[in-house]
Amino acid sequence: MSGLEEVMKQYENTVFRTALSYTGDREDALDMVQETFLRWLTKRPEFASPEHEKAWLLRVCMNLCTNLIHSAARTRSEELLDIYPAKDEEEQGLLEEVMALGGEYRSVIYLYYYEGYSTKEIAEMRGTKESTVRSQLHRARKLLKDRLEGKE
Amino acid sequence: MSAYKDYMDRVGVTPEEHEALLKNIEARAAEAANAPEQPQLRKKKPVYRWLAPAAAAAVLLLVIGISPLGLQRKGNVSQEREELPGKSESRIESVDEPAFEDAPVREPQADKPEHAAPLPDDEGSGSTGVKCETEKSEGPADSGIIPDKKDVQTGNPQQSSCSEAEEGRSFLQRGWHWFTEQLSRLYRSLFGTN
Repeated sequence: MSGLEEVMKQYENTVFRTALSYTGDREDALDMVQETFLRWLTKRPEFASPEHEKAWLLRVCMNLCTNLIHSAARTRSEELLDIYPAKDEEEQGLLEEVMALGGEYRSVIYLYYYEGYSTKEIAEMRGTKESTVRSQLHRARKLLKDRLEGKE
Repeated sequence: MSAYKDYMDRVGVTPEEHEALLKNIEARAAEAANAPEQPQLRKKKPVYRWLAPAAAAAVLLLVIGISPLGLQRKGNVSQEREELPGKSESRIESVDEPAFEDAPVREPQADKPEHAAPLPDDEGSGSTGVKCETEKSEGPADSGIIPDKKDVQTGNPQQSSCSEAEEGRSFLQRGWHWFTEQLSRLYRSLFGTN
């Protein structure tokens, strides 16, 4: 299949992490990666730039994840930290708290802190208001701060 | 957040998983391409989008449009009723007239009671209204006096029209009451409101 392997090599990890941050489950995240690239292959959309292509893939992935989260067919198989263990206790504590957040908060944190998207870009990708993304980010940070301070 | 970034750097798809994903996607895409095109089901029109406002509008129209008609009908009936007492009064007056009471029974009428007497009974038997029945009891037939042909003609048709009006009005009222009850029940079942 022309182009699929290149596109997958370029974006599969990004799509996988986004799906993982949303679902919190590795198997579900792999399913979402498969569905996302299948959409790409069947639709073959044209993009003005690689950034647009990445944003499109992330948007499709997030929509699929949202559908999955709201569906009853979802199963949690294994804890993420068991598959990808943390380096030290500090990282372990932080990641436990991040994983304890809801899927929407986790995905906002991932897209904002790891992928480096702005709140406006995240809102465009998710099809929501920028104010919604900002408030979700604010709540996620506050929750993390409160929990981490409470641990200490 | 640097710990989080470090951690996410380590998270990713393994080469084996990448191969498996690639194969699966290609197989599914080929399967979808070879599959015969299924006729697309016609999308159902969203009925409830217009049903709710249409039902609400229909109820409103019925309440606004039909109830004045009912009132109008009621008004007509009351007008009729207003007219009736005058006529009945005149009839009763004619009955109460001492001259009439004291008037001697005419022979030819007394000879043929079957001619005049059954008439009020026949006319009154169909009526159901209470008022009309009392009027009937006041009638000349019960007083034992055989009424004039003129009295029978003027009195009894009034009684029957009164009872018909009463009957019609009560029928309309019952019908309207039943109809509005059904509508409100339907509305409640549709919108779940009280």
